[in-house]
Amino acid sequence: MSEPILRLDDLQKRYGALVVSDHVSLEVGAREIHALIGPNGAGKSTLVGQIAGSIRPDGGRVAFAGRDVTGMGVSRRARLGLAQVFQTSNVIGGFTALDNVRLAATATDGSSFRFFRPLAAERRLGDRAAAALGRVGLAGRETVLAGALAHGEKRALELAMGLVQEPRFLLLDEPMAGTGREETERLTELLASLDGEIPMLIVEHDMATVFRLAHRITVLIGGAVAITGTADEIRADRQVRIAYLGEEAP
Amino acid sequence: MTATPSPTLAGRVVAVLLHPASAIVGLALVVVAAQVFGQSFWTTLATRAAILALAALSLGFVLGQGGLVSFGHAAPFGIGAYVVLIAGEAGIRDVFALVPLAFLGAAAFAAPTGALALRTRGVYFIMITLAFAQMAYFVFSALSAYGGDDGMSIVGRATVFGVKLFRNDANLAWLAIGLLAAVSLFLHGTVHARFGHVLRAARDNEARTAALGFSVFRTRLVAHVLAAGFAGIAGALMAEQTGFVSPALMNWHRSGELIVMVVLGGSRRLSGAVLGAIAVVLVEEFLGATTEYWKLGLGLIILAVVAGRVADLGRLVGRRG
Amino acid sequence: MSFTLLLVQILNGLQFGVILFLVAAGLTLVFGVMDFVNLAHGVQYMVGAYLTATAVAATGHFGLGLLVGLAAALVLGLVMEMVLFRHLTRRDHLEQVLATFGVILVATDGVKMIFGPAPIALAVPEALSGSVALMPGLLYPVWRLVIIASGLFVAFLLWFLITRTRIGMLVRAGSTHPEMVSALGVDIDRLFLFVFAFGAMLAGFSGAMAGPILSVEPHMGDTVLILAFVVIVIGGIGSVRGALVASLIVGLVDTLGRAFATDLLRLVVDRSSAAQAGPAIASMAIYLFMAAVLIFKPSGLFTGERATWTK
Repeated sequence: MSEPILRLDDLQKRYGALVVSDHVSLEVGAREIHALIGPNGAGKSTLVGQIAGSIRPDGGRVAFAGRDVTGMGVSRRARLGLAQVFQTSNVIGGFTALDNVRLAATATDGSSFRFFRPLAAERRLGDRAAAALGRVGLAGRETVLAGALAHGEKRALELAMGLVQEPRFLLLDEPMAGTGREETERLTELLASLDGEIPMLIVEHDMATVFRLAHRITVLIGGAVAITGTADEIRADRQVRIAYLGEEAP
Repeated sequence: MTATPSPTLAGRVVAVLLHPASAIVGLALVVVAAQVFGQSFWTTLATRAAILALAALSLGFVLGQGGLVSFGHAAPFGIGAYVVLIAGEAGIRDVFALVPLAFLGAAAFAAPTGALALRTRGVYFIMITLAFAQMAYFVFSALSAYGGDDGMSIVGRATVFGVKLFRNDANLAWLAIGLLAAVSLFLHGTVHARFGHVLRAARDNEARTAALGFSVFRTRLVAHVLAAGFAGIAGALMAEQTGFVSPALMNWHRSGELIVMVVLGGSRRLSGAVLGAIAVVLVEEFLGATTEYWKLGLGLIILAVVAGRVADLGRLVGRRG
Repeated sequence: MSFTLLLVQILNGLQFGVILFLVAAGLTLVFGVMDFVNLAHGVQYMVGAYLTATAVAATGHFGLGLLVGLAAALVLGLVMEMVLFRHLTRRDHLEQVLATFGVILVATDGVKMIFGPAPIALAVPEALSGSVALMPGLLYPVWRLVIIASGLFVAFLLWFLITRTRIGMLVRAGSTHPEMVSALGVDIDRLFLFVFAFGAMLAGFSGAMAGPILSVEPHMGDTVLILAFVVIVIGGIGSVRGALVASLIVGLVDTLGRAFATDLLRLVVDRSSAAQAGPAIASMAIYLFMAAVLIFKPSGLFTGERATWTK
């Protein structure tokens, strides 16, 4: 396997007496879709925060694209190519769908400190943004205010904002939360089409999605990694069945 | 910024009236008329309106576009005025030197204080900007070389390559209106350019904007410093007009009045600040002519506006900004 | 500078700090518990002084006048909360700033209309108007000592109210978990009303106590308000203990700075530059201190686990 895009090395985080990350180590390969699952309260969101840079670990390291990013904030990690899709819809509600994607494109295309040229006149950015919207199935919705989009459309818009940045890695925190069955399937196929193109870490409750997409799955229980393995290995693991799937020990 | 023009005639008239250029053209017409009919009072009033409009416009930029409620905008304004006084004492009177110096002086104050204030949010930001502005007030009050509490007259109005062009009030009016127009144009461009988009995005959703890779802190700091610089230019113009500089220019009530101008005019549009400033100057002038307690009237107007939840002149006439 | 002069300035600093504490204590609770930006708190201080001055003049007795003044300040606080501020607590900060600034303009000019722009008299009660010898060669005004003592008494009272009583427990809970407090059947609006009116009365008390030594005039609240903000930023929003410590620090630093900066500066620069720069540096001292706090503890000295009195 080539150099992993993301490597968590012995991450520790506690809130008071509560241990939320218990010596977590994890790798996502350069072409891998990796899923992170675990029961509620397993510490998934805290781990996502530590990967994204919004939460500082108490100990351990985060390496991204071969660099130690442990001390970097959210925006610097984003500029290195780490794109995020949040758990709750997180778009700029007052901007149109196109402006949201255009804004995202700006972040990875030269300086944002430009004061004269209207953003709307930057044709290349507009074209890229429109293409990204088309790819996630939002063609024709360009001029709608993001705040007025349906829930599933917002999720797709977020994905477009990630894709237009041509990221080196996608961090998806429950991208299917709150979407209907049809929408989930569509988004899952969309992510599947990126397989081999962009490596991902996806936190998801929808097991159909997880098994469809993930090359490897990590199960987090009580802040610690219980097991990392392929879908079949996870299905077969007794510890997972007890703790996560809620089955009684035989 | 995304207002769609109303199809009705009345709507179109309103749209033209609310256009940023209209207010500035209106001020210019007042000056022309005042010259033609020899009414110097109106020239003075239009100049004052243009100066305060420039200060309010700069505040409207950070407050409206950036969502940063700065309660210390009187400080850069006053510093700009002191730059004129101090530079004049040092023999610098050329307008091409004074305007950039006023900008830089105010920006130099805003950069460190803004960087500290921007480490905090909400209530803290309001209190800290107010506190630092008060610090500037007391520091200049203590500068006995420049008049201390009482203030001091400037050596004379600015020159252009040695020519005492601004002895003529009308020329000063043109300078103020010209600078207001130039800054409006610049900020209008900025609002629509990349920088303005990032600034508004950070206002609406800070976490998202950071996650996209933008440095929210640096964006806000640049906006804050730019706004202070423009307020400094306005303060320099105020010193030119009144010929007198004192710490009273940066009294915290002025910071409050600038916020009032921005919000009365509608903070989401740049032009709102200009309209709000003109409205407050008119209230001050005409209420002030009838009673010395005109601020009580202004206070009641503010309370009425807040009470009626119509903090936007635009909405009063049925247009959304 | 002599030792007695230093002692006098320290006492003056404490007395000033106590005045600030009385204003900041109510304000920090209003900020912390209600997340409400109240610029009009300085108005309460100013109006408290005017009400007391009027009542003292009418009754001819300071103590009686003070009681009437405090009751009136409390009633004013209640009315302001019910008429205006109640409707603003859940609005954004900009609207709160605007509305309370409007109140300042109305109140300041209103007081000018009624009492005139010139300072009015508020005399120290006869019995407390003298000075006492604290040590040989150190005569200090009794009234200033009374201010220090009453401020420390209020601090004790607040500590008792907040940590030892039911209402204090509700205030503490209300600041962190308002929804839980409402779920317990406590009327959160009533709680806020109480906090607000009590804070207003404290500010009024502060104005009444400061009235005889500073002057009772329409703008007297302005300076105190902004210094109270500095106190709250240093002490941490919502922390009464932080407000107490920060008030005393600000009172001391400001008073000692103004008294001694020029002399100290003369040790390193010549006389005329010291005379020039001294006052300017002294007036910056507390703000620079605030800046240092912001750099090292952006949320104030007494927030988080160390803030015991609420928040």
